[in-house]
Amino acid sequence: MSTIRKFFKRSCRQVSRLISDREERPLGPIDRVALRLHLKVCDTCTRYEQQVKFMRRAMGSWKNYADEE
Amino acid sequence: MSDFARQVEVLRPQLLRFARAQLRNDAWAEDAVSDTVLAALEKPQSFAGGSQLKTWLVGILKHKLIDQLRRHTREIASSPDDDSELEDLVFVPDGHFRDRDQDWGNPEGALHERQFFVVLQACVDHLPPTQARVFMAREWLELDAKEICKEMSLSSTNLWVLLHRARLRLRECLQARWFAVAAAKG
Repeated sequence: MSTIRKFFKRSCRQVSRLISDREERPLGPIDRVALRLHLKVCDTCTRYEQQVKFMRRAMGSWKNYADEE
Repeated sequence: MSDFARQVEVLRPQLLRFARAQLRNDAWAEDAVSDTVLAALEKPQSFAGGSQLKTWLVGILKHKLIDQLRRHTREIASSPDDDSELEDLVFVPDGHFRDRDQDWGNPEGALHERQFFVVLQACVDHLPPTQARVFMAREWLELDAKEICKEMSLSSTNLWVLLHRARLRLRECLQARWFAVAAAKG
């Protein structure tokens, strides 16, 4: 693995935190690159990213559901 | 009791359910709902009738919930969730997800099923109290991070950790109670 790739390498555990944080704040440039490189090769984290977005949509829909109930 | 007061009173149990989900404390929830009902009955002319009565009451309730969070800041801050073992349950020691096969397919269909929202609420109810408060404040009260930190005396870093853990927990719960069940049914 190249030195550069090693520098940007993150575990799924670290990436799951970045995926959540990105919903709350702009990530720094190093984290942004690390996240993008990881998501290119990791299906599980790509799914987790979609699941986080779905859960946010679900909470938005839950409000409407609660209003109409 | 006027017709308006009766309609408000009928909605009280639902308001209480929302308040409990947000505050995770029955006494605070009762106070927030009582304040809401009182505010509504004092100024019934404020209800334009253009929206549903419940939507109008929930709008008032949100302000009362923020008041309660503000009032009990010290108690909330002094009772952090001990949830340090969560990430050891979700990840293996080398940092990979323990369960790599949580494929939800196209989950959008769930948003049209009433039962899904019953499960979602149950999952939110199962979050540890502090996680639930910040998660609901973010996603239901729609406060931004700065407001939540201010109202609940949290640092930004602390808030991000709590939201991260709430999302991990919610994912595990929805997987177990909804998506795995749906997959088993085929």
